[in-house]
Amino acid sequence: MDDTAEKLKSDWFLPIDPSEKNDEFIAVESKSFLSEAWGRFKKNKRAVFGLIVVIFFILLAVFGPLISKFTYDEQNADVLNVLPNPTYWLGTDKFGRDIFTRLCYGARISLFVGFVSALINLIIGVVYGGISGYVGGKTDMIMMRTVDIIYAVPSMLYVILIMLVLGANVKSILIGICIPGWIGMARQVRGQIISLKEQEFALAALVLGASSRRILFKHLTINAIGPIIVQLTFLVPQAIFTEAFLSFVGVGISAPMASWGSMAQDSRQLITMYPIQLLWPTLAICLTIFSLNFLGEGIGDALNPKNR
Amino acid sequence: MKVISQFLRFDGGDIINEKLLEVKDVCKYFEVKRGYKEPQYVKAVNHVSFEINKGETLGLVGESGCGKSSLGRTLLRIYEPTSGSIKYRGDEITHLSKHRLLPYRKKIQMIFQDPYASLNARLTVGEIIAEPMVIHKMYNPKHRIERVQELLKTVGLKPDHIRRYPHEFSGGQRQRIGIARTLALDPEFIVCDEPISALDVSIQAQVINLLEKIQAERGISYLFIAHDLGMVKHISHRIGVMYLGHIVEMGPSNEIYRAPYHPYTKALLSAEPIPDPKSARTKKRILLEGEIPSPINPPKGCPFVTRCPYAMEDCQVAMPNSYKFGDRLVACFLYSPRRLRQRENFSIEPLLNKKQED
Amino acid sequence: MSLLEINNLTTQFKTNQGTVSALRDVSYQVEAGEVLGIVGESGSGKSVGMLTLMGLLASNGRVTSGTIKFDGEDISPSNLDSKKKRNDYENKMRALRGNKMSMIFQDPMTFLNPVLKIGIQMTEGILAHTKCTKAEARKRAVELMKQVGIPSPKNRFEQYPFEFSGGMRQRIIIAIALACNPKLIIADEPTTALDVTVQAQILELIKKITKDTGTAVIMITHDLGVVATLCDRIAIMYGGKIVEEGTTDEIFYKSKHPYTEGLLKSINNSEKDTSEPLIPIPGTPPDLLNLPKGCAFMARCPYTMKICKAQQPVTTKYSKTHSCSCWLYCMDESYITVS
Repeated sequence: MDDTAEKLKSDWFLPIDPSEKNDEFIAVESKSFLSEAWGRFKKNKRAVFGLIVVIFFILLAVFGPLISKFTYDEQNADVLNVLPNPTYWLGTDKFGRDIFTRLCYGARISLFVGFVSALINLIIGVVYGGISGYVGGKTDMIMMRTVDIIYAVPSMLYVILIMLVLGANVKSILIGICIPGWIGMARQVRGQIISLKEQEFALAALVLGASSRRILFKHLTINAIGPIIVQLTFLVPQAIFTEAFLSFVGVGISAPMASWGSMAQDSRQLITMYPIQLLWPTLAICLTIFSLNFLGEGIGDALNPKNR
Repeated sequence: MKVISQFLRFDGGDIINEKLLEVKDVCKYFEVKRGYKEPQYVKAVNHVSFEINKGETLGLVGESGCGKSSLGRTLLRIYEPTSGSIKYRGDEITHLSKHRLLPYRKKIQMIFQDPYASLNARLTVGEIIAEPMVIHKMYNPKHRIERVQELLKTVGLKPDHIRRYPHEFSGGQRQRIGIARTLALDPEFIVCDEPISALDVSIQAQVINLLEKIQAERGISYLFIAHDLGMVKHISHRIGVMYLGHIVEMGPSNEIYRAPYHPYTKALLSAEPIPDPKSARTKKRILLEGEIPSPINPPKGCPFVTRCPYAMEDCQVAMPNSYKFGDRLVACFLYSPRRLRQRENFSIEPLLNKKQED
Repeated sequence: MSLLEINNLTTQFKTNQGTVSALRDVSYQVEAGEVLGIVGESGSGKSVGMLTLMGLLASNGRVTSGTIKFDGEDISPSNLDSKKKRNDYENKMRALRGNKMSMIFQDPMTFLNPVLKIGIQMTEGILAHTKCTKAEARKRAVELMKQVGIPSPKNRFEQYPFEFSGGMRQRIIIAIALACNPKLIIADEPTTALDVTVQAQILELIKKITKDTGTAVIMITHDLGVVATLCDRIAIMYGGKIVEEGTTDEIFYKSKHPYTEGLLKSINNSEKDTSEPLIPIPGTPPDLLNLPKGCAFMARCPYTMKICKAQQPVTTKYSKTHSCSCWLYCMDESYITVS
């Protein structure tokens, strides 16, 4: 009995089977960069709130007009300035138009202007900033001074001038926002590329014989993706705000087309009697811009490798 | 007790007397502009010449700012050389255009210092190792994957690591991924730019042994840049000592460590802390005063003159030539034929004692 | 009584991925006037140990157990459950740091404030810990600069850090550490950022200071050459534990632990002949997030036994100074508690 016990215990001092050692272990579970960032993003309550609100407005813009019984320009003299009720969910304005329907059309314009201008700015900014930063030297000098000149003219001036030439419509608002809009992105990308191109992985690609285009887009830009996305998420609210502002001061979307800015303008005159009419567009603008900012911040934190 | 599994020592194959790389009088000056003043130049590499044979390792040692990394990068044309000539198997590659250089890129490669920065964090290990083959349009996609797995095995990693991302690996493992990427092109000459200085002590030997094994199997030549003297000695056949952009001494590694000629080499070797307490206690150190001067304003004459315990008047005026003794080169006036005639042997220590007596 | 006594110190960090056990049940002593080398790789816990000792842990770090006694005073950072205890501890440490206990950091470039004159940075500590006038503090600072070998200290006093080279800055940091005649200096890789010839100067300086002032030094490093040159005793750390401890000669010539043995075989000594092979330690350092139940070195050890996977090894003593935690040296069933 004692013998067997002793024998059992001494077994502990036998060499271990090499397969149990696994010395080339890998510490962390395999996760791609984006899935890891998504994991961090999910934990950020404000960012998730922002995402939900933005999705809500997108759904509103797409499906809102379909579920509404009214059109944005249908006037009804019987129901002027009605308060919210089961037929007119958000009430009507001074021409008797349904505010909910108009709000949905406004969301279409705001979000369209916001996302499309951001996309255009992204493409121009990344390519321009990337080339400027990567090539460097005189090219960089000339490209950056050009940017400085464009930037020196107030951006509102571009918008108003283009409105005068091309008329007040979504297209001219877009062009007006985009002419100076990509500059921030280009500067951001250029800075990133300049610091990244000195890193050893970029040198390694160079030594391997990769072409400049490959180095710039496959290696450098992809590593600057975090700051680029953050910059992008701040471009969207900026464009939405610009559109709303232009429509509010009366040079943007022209009546009867609805935009949040022009709705705010319309209800401004009735602010003492029907303040609720002003509330809806303002609330929509505020909520969207707030949420997009939260979203941008959340994405920025999630993509920052230091938070790993 | 079981004997620790002995790793075979590879003698680095045979060094074939076949010149692979010839570097002649290469200079690399960097321009620094300060406001509206005249541009100044950092003379990072200053008239450096050497040759590397097939299957040989040339070690390059020196302190930070001595230009050893700049030299390595100049050879690879990451930096454009200011003057001089670089010949690969007799072909002049100093000023080749990017396109014409491409075939040489396959043959001349580099291993980088920082295992964290040298791999693109957004790509998988498989993509990283396959990249050189994609760039040079080698093999078809299926064959590439097989080769990546083969290379992973060569460097001691598992083939199924192919889909992992670099940040999941430790420093030593990443360095091996970098080596696998380099090997994908079957290079003949690799510049190793401090490949072990960012690694833990217990991992350094893994990388050194791997490099030696690869050399023995494929006859690759290395230019091994490092500041760890012990490890450089181990891997190198010959060693060059750099100071302020100049190679001040060059020769077979064992000989240089046994009997350094140049006063700087003497000081450098004596300053190295030896991991052996007994010899550390008895070791006589030559403590240099001060630090390496700025390469923007290098001293006139010999670069080492400001710190050299033997400095003479000549040294203040002119840069000494390289004097050749067998396979050794030393750039110091103490070894000029005139000075050597004044003393019987190579030993210069008596001069120092005499100087102190004066 | 020893100058510093550390018993069963355990430090953990809370991170997103889980709890990192950076320091596990570490005990050692430092006698007055001796130089103790703590050798380990990145992630071995050598730096965390010192930060725990100095009370400078990051906010997510927590000392779960252990006691520290320094110069007769209890400065244990564990069990700080009430706010009062925490404040008391903070005050005690603030009075000690830079005074009786000071630290030399690795990077001489970031330690000094670039916009303050060297003189101001040097007298700051003196004025904070001793009752003296500015003139006296200045006099002391100049004296210290002379002691650490800075030429023309009076002129240097008025200069900014960027006017000093790396080696000179490290000398200034050493001078600041010496300002209040500390009993213990903790040097965290003080020469890693320096060149070989400058490193030799600084090591010589530290040697001279310990001889002249009788200050004890804890030298944290990964460089076996540095410890061989400088230290009286050495503790080898791996995976947050001290695996072997002994005098310098015991560690270098009578090493017991397979890790110590492996370290010594994997480095090349430039006095050795080149043809001797290097024998690397295979594998990678352990992940502190999920350490094995048994010995942390198990996966890389050439002698691994079954018990090594199941239970932490027992510490064996060989002499008054030499001890080692490894199952190879205590193959006795009576130690086994697992089944």
